[in-house]
Amino acid sequence: MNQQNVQPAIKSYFFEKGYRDLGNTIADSWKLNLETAEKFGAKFSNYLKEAQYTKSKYLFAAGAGFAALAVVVFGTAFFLALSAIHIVILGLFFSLIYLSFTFIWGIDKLYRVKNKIFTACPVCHHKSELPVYLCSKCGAAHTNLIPNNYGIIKRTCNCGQKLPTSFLNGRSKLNAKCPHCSYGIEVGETTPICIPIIGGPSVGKTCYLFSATHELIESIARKNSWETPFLNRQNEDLYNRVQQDFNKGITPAKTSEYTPTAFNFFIKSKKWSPAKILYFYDAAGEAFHGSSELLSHRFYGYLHGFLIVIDPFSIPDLQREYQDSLETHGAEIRSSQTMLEDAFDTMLINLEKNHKIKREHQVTQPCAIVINKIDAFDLEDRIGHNAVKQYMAQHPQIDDFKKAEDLLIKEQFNSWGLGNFIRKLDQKFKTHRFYTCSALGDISKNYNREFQPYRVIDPLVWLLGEADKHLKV
Amino acid sequence: MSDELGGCLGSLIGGLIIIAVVIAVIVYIIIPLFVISMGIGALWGGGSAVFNYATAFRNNVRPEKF
Repeated sequence: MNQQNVQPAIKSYFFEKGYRDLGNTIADSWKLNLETAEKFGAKFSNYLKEAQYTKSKYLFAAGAGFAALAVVVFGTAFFLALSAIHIVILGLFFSLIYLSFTFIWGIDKLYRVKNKIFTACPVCHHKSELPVYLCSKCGAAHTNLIPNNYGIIKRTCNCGQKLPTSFLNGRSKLNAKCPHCSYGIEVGETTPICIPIIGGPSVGKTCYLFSATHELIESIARKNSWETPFLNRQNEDLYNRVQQDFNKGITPAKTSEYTPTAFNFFIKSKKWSPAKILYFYDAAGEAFHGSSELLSHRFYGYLHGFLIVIDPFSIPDLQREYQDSLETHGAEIRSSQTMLEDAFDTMLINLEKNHKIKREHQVTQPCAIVINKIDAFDLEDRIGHNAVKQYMAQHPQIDDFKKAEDLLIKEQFNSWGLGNFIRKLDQKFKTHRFYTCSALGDISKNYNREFQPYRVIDPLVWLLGEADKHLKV
Repeated sequence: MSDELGGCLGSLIGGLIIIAVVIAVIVYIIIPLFVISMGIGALWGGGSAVFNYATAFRNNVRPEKF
């Protein structure tokens, strides 16, 4: 057996000891038969010796010899028959046990596959089918707590504690840790939805994340009667701290983590089970300066959607166009110095290099391209909703607002010299959409007052709906 | 001639009687004795084997609760 599969538990009777018992029973029975035959054989010899002096002992010798012969002949025949009956009965009984084992194992596996359950470590981003479960009594690590040769419904830890082996009897309630970094896994057995927020420094990723999360929790979740508890106290404190700052018009501190710890909260509803657990990854924008920095972003291997945040002022043409205005309002806008295409290319290289997505292959996960800071200057009239309405008026054949928005933004990007970016986007992502929003609202009107973000929820709702049909609203 | 015939017939009858006695001994004594001894042997040998198997089973089989 593979060393990794050796568990700190007692093997199930039906997978090991049962066979050992059968073997020992047969061996012992054969030994006892031989002993019985030898006993009468010895008596036969003794009576034969005594018969030289007392003739009547011949009769006893004949009896003992007959008894020994009977044990050898008939005893062996009966022993063989009894062993065969034992093997058949045990085989039938064990077959029933294995059938039920296969059934429970299958149900457990099917449940996890159907609900797309896996464990993603929020810290090291290692993906595993199940976490390492810890014994509730002694804390021993059980790496493969499924119905197997250690137990079908429950397994007995070496300390004697019985542990559930499937979702049916509460395995997910046990404490667990990441098999890679040993970080405590609190997500249980839920459906993860992993979305990285991609973009260079100062594009507004963190502001977007918390503005969108706030709207998701306060508006969308309430409207749909979803419950959105945080994974743990740290996530809740972080959210509350950022929201308190937002209420005072204070932007969150710059993200410094190159390898981000996921921001997690659940989405629960009576309409589905198990719960969904959202993973948002907000890395420092500097991480997108080189694909080697993204090596630790292992979540690219199992993510459910891409959310690319763009600072329109990281587009060189727009930077030049608004140079004077940016010099005046630079402090409020804090435009990103990383070129949009550079960050995007870094991400593509990362996908090709670290996640084996070939250059010519398309990514099937949806990609939302969010143009932030749309409140600045006249951008709303150029690529915002006002512009889309105008575009639709000019192109009456386009009756779908979203389609018009995508077309308009692509046209504008082409005119701003980003034709190459659009081509790469079309080539790489099978499904992608453009969105415009302001993660903080119009700061010039609300300086040092509560932020009034707008249209932040649309890309997130679209991505979530694409990732999981239950979250389509 | 008749004396010779009488002597021959006597020998034949004597021979037949011996064969009949031998057959009777086989049918009524040896076969039943063999059957009885086989029966006793089977009972004894089989009984010992069943007893030994039961002892071995009791000593070795310890199924756990599941």
